[in-house]
Amino acid sequence: MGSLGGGLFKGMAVTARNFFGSYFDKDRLVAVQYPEERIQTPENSRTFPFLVYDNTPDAMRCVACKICETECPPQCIYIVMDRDEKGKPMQRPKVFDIDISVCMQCQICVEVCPFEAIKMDNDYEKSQYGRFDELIEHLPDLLKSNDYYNKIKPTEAAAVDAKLKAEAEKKTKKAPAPAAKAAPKPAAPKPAPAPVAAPAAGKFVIPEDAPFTPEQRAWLAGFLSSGGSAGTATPVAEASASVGEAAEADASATETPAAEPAPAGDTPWHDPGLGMQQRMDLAKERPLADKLMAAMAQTDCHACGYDCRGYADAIAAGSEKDLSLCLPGEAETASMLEQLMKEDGKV
Amino acid sequence: MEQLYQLLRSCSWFAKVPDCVLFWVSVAVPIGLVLAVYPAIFAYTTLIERKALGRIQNRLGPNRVGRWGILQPLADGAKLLTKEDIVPRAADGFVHWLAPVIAVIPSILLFAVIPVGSGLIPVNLNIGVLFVFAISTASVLALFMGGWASRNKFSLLGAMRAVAQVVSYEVPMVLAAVVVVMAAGSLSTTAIAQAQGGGLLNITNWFVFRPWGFVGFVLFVIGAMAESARTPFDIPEAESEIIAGYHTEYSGFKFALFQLGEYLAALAMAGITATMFLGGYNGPGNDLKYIGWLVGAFWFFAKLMSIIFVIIWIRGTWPRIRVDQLLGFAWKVLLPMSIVNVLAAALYHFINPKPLAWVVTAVLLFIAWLVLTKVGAPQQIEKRVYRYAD
Repeated sequence: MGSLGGGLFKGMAVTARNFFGSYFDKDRLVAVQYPEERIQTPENSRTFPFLVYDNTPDAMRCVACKICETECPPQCIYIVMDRDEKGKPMQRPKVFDIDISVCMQCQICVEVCPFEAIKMDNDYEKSQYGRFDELIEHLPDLLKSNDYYNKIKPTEAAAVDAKLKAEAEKKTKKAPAPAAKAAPKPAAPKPAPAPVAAPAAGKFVIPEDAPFTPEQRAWLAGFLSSGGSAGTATPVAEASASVGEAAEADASATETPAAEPAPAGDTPWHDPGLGMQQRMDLAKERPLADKLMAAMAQTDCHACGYDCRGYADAIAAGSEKDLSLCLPGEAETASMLEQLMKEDGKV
Repeated sequence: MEQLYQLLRSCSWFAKVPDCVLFWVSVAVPIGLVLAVYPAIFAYTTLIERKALGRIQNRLGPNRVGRWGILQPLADGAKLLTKEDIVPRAADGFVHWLAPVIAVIPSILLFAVIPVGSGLIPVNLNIGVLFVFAISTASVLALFMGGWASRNKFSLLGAMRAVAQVVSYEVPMVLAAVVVVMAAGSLSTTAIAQAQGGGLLNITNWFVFRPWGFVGFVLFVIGAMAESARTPFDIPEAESEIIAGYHTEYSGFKFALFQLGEYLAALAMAGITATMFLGGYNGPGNDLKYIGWLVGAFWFFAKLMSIIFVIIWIRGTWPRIRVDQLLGFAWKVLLPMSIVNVLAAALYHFINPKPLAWVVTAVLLFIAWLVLTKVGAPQQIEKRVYRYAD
């Protein structure tokens, strides 16, 4: 039949089946009338990140720790921490911008966020009439409720909710302990809150076979022992900051001698808005632990497993050997810590 | 036209009206009808084509402008009318302007000799078939003018291909039509349509039910598709090879005129095919009193649209054939086949009884087809053996 053109008619039969079949058979008419009809996107599909809030937009989970900003490979996130009228950090972002023309949807920000605050959206209708400002998403655009998260990704959101609930319960049980621990801390640079690598020290034992790198393990140990969230760190930071405010005036007036250990609450450098040089100048005549603390990024983000004070104390006490745990501070902090330790002759 | 003139003259209402007025009215009415009906069919054929191609490809086709996209042709027209008309700087301005006009005129002229119903023909030329071939070939002039005047290598290539193709397919197409002229004994399209009347339900006498008529029908449809550059013979415009061939440099309404000319030529060729092989307006009920002409017109347009649908269906199925295959097919297969077909028609005329003639000519044509497709098949190139690549 080949030379008689049988194949031609076979082809005609195929197209005829498609033509007439399209009137009866849904499978032969696969086109979707897009603006009116939409295909349900798979639960695991993702487009760009958004920020989760609980109940009201004010109760956002983000504490402006800048870990995602630091980790973002194409550097598309820009965060400025919010402050109250006294200039005190409020542990929430004032500016949170994501440039979706740069974002490569890699989800690393979601992976690194310790607070479950940033998640991947599946909204794909992001076209704009410009390439520049129009494609930058600001805080109000980014904030979406936890209900929305539960709607678009039910399985993932349920797991996250369960985890947060469990942590909240632990926190309420543990609440007295960190408070007690926090109180004596300013008095003297005590050993680290918990020797992080040793599971015996903490009440929360991370299983040996859990899939964590040593850094992650250390962070988790610190995170759990500190009460599970930034909430417990807040009083410390606020207290130290407010004392610092008061003490700043006379500290600058009366050149505190280096020999006398300054009151630990007096930490004028504890302000993420200051530059590294300014912070180091403020801590110039202080003991090693204070200098180390001044080298931190001052966000109290807990990415290292401590707050800024605690991490500095742990390094000074020798219980924490890793100098690269301060994520918001990036390489600047790490190299400064190393330099300080060298100057002190400890490395 | 003459009939209309006679009718108007014999009607007592118009007794006071001068003859010359009646004459011009009888001239203007058929022209007006042709210019109104066929472009309207053209407009909706584009919609039908897009819908059918969509369905073939599991899509819906245009459905946004009006319900079921019913206003889509109007939207297309409005769009093309308002588009910028770009003429290349180096183009030959006058010829570039003239080409689309030339493309449309012959296509419209073709409708002059197509009988829509018994006596419903704009001009009853006694050389109707000759007129068709003379006029339809003129369209190649427009293609070449357009390709040449654009001063663009793709346009010129397309135009060259168009000339080669139309000249090649003209020959088997004319020879395929010769058998009909032989059988009907006339070159008049009206006489050809009348010759196919009678028989069972006005169907069995259609020429397509003779062996030579069937072969002639197939050859003629192939030729008509090549002539109007429809897929799989759209080598002149082959958008994937030479962009759009001869109308690469045309935009706006000039482009639309080219499309219009091409579509009208395809419609006219479908009409001629229906008239010559499918019995024209003959069908069940076309010899009824009073409404016979209406039934005849219905059958004619039904046949025309069926042919158009098959052409669209083919467009949605077959790939474009290569230039060498195209020309080889015309000269090595179609031309000998059409000559054998003339012989078969002659045999059919002289052999009696007719059932015997039917069988003899069918066998003759089938053997010819077998032999020609073997002999005329494109040369198979040996598979190349690579020394190192394998």
